[in-house]
Amino acid sequence: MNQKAPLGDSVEDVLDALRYENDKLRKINQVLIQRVEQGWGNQGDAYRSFQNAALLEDKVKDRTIKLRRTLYKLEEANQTLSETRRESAHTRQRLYDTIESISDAIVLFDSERRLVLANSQFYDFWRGTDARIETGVTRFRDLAPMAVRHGIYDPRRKPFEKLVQRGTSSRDSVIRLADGRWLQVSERPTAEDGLVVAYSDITALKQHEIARQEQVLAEQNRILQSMIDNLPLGVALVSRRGELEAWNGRFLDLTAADRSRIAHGASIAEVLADSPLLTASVGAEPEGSTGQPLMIETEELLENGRAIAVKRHGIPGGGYVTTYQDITTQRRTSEALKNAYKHMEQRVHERTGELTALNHQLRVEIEERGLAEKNLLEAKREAEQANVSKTKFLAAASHDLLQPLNAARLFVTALLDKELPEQERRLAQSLSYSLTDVETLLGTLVDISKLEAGIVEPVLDHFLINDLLRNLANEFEQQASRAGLGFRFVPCQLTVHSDSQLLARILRNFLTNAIRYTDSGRLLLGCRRRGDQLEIQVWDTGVGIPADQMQEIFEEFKRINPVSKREEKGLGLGLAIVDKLSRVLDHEVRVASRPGAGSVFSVCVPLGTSPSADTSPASRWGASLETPLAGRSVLVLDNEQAICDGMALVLEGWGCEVVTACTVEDVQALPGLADDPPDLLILDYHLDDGVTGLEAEQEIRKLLGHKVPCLMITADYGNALRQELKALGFLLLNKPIKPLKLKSVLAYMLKELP
Amino acid sequence: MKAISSPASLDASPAVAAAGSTQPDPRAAALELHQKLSAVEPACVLFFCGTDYDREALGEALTDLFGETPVIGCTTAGEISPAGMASGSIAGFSLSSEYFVVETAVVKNLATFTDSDAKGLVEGMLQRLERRAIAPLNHNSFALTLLDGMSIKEELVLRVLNDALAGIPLVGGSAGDYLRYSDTHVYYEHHFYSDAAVIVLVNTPCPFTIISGHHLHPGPEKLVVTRSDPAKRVVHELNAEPAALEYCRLMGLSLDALDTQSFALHPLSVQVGENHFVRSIQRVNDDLSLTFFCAIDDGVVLTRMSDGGLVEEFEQCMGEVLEEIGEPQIVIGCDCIHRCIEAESKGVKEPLSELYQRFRVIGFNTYGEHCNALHVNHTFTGVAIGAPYRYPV
Repeated sequence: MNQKAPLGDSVEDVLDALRYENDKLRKINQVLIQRVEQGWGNQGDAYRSFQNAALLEDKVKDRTIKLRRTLYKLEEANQTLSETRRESAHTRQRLYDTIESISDAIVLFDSERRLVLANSQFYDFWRGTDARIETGVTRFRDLAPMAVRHGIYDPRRKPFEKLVQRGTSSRDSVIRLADGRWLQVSERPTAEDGLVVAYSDITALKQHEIARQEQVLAEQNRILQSMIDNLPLGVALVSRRGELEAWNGRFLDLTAADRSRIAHGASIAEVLADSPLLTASVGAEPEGSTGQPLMIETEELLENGRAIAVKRHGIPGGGYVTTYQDITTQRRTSEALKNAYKHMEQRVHERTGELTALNHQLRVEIEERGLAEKNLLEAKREAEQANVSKTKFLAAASHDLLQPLNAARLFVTALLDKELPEQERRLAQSLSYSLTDVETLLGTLVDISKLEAGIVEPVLDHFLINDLLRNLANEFEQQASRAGLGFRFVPCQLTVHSDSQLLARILRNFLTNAIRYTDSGRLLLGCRRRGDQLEIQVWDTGVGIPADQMQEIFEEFKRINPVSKREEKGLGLGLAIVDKLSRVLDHEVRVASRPGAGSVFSVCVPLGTSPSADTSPASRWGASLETPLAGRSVLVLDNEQAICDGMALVLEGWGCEVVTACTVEDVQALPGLADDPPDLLILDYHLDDGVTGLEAEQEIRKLLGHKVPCLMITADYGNALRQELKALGFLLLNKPIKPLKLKSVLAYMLKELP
Repeated sequence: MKAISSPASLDASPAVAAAGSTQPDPRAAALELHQKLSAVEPACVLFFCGTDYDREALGEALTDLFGETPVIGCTTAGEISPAGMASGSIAGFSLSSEYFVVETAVVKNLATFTDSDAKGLVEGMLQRLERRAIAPLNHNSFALTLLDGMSIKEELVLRVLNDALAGIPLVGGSAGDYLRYSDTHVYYEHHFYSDAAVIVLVNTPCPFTIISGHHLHPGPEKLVVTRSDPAKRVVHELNAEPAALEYCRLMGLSLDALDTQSFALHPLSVQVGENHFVRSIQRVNDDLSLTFFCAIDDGVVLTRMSDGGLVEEFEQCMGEVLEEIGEPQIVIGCDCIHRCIEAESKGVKEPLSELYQRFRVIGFNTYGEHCNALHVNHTFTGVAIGAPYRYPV
């Protein structure tokens, strides 16, 4: 507040400033004093007025709020109350309006059964009488005596009352008034122990009911008469006094009654006086000795040839009903039936004779057929035996026939491995070729037989087609170049689902044929995808096949343009085998050709999902050819000594140490075997005395105290054995043993060894 | 009063219609207003218009359109319509005759209005109202006042009216004229009047509640009015210094920059009992005196007020209203022009306007608000009317 004071250092300046300040404070002081002293005096003063209002407002506010709150509640309660009152009045009015609007008379009584409320319809009953009906006075039980007194109820007749009790206090009754009206009285208790009585005028209903009953009766009557009229019988109802009460037209016709006399109540005797049926129709009442009504039945033959059956039935209570039936037709029919029966007997007798003859004939026939069946069964058994014999022969052929050949083969191989003079070598070489040819021919024949016999079962697997094709390509590339032909192989990375060995045989046949029938040019091995199949094709630029011989080439011993210049002795069985293999595998074989230009043979194989965990044996072996066999010890167990010797020669030729044995006992007798265990076992599956290679292997394992890698040799091409051995983890080679294959399998096995 | 706040039944027909128009042409504006306000059968219509309208044309148009329906109104310093805060427009509402009974009166010469005049006038109105009342008179009625804001008679008129009303609450506002301080009018029965007041008594079964409050907090600084002219509401000296200089010193303002916005942002109040009432300054005069919007006198102690959050305070206030009467159908609002200026200066006019829309405020910016006998400044004063309470049948 001292900013207004001049600034300065002199005492004068300070004094001036303080004086100024003092004046200000004095003034402030003065106005404040004045303000306080004036108090609340002058109401006309605007500010004072405001101040008063503000002070009052503050005090009043609290109380006002409380008051308002209470008042709101009060008002709400008040509103609800008046609402309820209005509701109540409404309800009463509605009730009155409701009962007034009902055409029935309605009376309400309280728990004391005093009248509470009644509608005008109720008071209408009492109009014209001096009866006093008063609310709160008149009782329910007073009403009936009053009604009688004032002649409202019929005084002559006792009021008809039909009580229907419903529950404890509800009941319905029907009363008749003096004026002929009918009332239904319904009594119902109310919730507050009161009673409601309703009087419904049901006169119209009653009258309607009676009228309806009469109508029903008339209708029934009409139906009955109509029925009688339309009966095919003549009917007459006669009273106890012999008077005609009812009849129909047919009665008149049949009895030839006197139509002039016919009338209701006419005497039956008079009506039928001239009738031939009088006697049958009239007579004592048909009544049995026990008093029970009887039936009297007679048949009358009239002069005109008609027959009438007359039946009289007694009616309970007297009188009777007579029926007349024209039975002329029935009689005639009956005669005819009698005749027919006689004739029929004759017919039956004749037929029986015929049937007996026929029966005899059939018996003879049955006997003949039984004989034929027996013969057929015999023939079938013979055929089955023949089949078994064939299978046995095949097994024997594969084992017994191939066994010595196998031995010879092994000997030749061993011989060729030796250092020989040139001439002997050539001889040995020729011998080897001859053996190979014999083996091939024999093998092919056996194969065809087996395929025909259904012995060969495919072992289906998922594998990469390329592994198979690459091996084939390696194999045939050399052969092709030897024949002066070009060879091309197109790899394929797809997986197929087939039997790799059987498929390889099909393709080998294709390739062999291609080389055989192609003089110059080239071959192509490749694949083509066809939907979910892979078509493996072998193309050649050979002589081709005339269109008319396309089918023939697949038959046994069929050859086209025999090529004499070649060394190979084709028997013409190759494509026959292909045909049978493709059936076994269910692979389609296709051929297309242009004579002089070339051919394409193909087989369609379903595509596979992914190759099985173990890749095809061919690839495994192919990859392990280089593993040296030198220095490895091998134990050979075969019941044929010749095989043992041959095997020993071959294996020793590869640098192996070989020990052979013909039986398990021989093995057990070998000195020091346990100390110097073999690296490998080669076991023939079929040993003497029914001992199997598996059993032998177990014995040897027991002897050595540990497992040794084992190769099984068998001439059994059956699938079951192959699967079993595979499951047990053994490798299997089929006889005849091809040395090259043996070498690669052994190398593979040894590679697995440490 | 909580019991009353139960929700109105949904099928209740609207008790109030509200409207606004920004049409500059008085007839077009009146037409738009009439069209929207006819949604209910009106017991009476209130409107608040800017001073830019040709008053005579507007009065004629309203007379033509509404006929004998009582129509009252006033000029404003800003309108609050269904579209929120506006300027240069017209806003209004109609009260349905189904839920409201009204009595209206005009006091044409405020200068000579006395206690006995007020008593006679108000008693007559109350008697007529009581005959037609549709709810208990004392507790379901309120009074609305519209005064010429330049009459300088508010305090006295309000006091005598309030005394005569005997407990019936009174709310209202002083007409404005966009801060020109020369052209304020009230409208009654087809005509605009100066130096006049319009009184409306309203009786209704709808729950309602009176709102009056401000958002300011008292500071420590005090000023004493040492010389004044109460009849003209002019303060010459504060603390025995020229009033304008002392005000500038306290507020840290420069004399040159002193304008309406300064007054709106730097309010002073008087303390009565526990309560502070803002005394707003209308203008600074050439002799460095200050003219106030409301009564002032020598020896009055003024307190410097500081801001307390205008929007938040209003929202909280409306929260209490919701508690008390439920969702309002209308809030008849008398909103001090200084609050409007303050909101604009502080950049909160938009949210405030949105709140007004949300709570269905219809009203205007005043030169002073009336609450019972009090003439106050810098407040939002009004009456919030809830939905009609329906008793279940």
